[in-house]
Amino acid sequence: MRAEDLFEAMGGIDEKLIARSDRRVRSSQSRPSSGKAVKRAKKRKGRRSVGAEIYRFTVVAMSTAVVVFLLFMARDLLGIRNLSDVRDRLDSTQMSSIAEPAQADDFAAEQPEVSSEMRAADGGQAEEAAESEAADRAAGVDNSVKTAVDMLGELKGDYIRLEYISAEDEANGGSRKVPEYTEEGEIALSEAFSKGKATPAIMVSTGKATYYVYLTRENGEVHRAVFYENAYVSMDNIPGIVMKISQADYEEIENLFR
Amino acid sequence: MEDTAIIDLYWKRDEQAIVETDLKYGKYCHTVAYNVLNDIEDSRECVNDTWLRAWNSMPPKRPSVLRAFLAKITRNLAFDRYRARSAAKRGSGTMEAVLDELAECADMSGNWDAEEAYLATELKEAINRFAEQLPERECDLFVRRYFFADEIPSIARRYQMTENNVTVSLSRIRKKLRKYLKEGEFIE
Repeated sequence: MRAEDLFEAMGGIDEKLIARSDRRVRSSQSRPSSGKAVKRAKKRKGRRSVGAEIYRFTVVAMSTAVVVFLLFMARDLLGIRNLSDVRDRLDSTQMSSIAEPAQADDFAAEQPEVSSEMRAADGGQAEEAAESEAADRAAGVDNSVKTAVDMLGELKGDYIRLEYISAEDEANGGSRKVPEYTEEGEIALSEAFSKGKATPAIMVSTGKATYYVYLTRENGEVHRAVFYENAYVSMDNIPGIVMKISQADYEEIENLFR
Repeated sequence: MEDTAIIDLYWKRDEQAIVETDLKYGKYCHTVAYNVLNDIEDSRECVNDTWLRAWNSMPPKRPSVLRAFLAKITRNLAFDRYRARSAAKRGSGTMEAVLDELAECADMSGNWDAEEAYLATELKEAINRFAEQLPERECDLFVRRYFFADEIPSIARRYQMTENNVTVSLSRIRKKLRKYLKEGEFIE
């Protein structure tokens, strides 16, 4: 038996069955005939369309609200894009930080005394230059020699000291070191902090912590940044957020701390 | 004009019967033929053949539902024409889709030709019983698709269903039909 034979056999379906089926089809498409029935049908249709409009409006409003809420959530989670944001956040919130005594003496020892030499060399120069020099000194700015903290580049802000220690050394009770300033180090560190992409920590695999970097502020507050083996960096003061940095920057930072 | 009046005209051998039938059911029969043939000219000729067949059938027949009676004649004539045409080449369209679907329930290996006349009558009765025992909505879908060869979107619009819903329902009906035909030993 072929499909054609089966189709032909279907031509033998009883006329009453066909008519019944046809009537059902037609009855579902039938229109009210009398005037009253037409009015009733129009009313029903009107009610249905008002209901449908309200339903549509509610659905659109609720979906918009949900989308806006999700956008705010996402902005809140992913909004921290660089160290400036981190600092702003630290200023605005009272987050716990690791307080350590200010190491002002160490800092002073690191700053070479050059202004007296300059003064000696340019003894006959105008008082203006001397005043400017004095102002720079008062502000603790030295333009000729850069230190480890300068490697933070534009993000240096009011940090006065940068130290590092490997995770292994810290576990063994080793002491922190101050890296020597290098231009490559500045590029890598400032890039890492300014261009790192903030992501919720639970969404990524950071790997083991490899290096800790301690940043000391003028008021003695110390903030710790943690570098991870999979090229992530986090700040202890901003829990739950890590920043992805480029592999090249991570390797450069490793060279700097080696 | 009422169906009974038209049938009376046939019985009186009044040629006005054909005019009235064409006025009332011409478009309907054309649609039925077009579903199968997918060709306007062929469908028009098929409808004319239907009027001739109806003229020769009444009397002695007095159909209880003229609309269904004419639909059945048109459909079967259209299918004959389709077969004659497709002996030369097999085209494409709704009819091909319908036959492909029915191939699921057919058994290509059976020696149908040898016992054709007897089996055809038996099969018609079996199909009729099968359609009668189907639930109302399934029966409607079955008739629309495999009797009238309606397109799926058209069936979906008629019954306010989604196209996917119609396709799934038809697939279930075909499974039932296959089982039914196996039980009746029409297929292996």
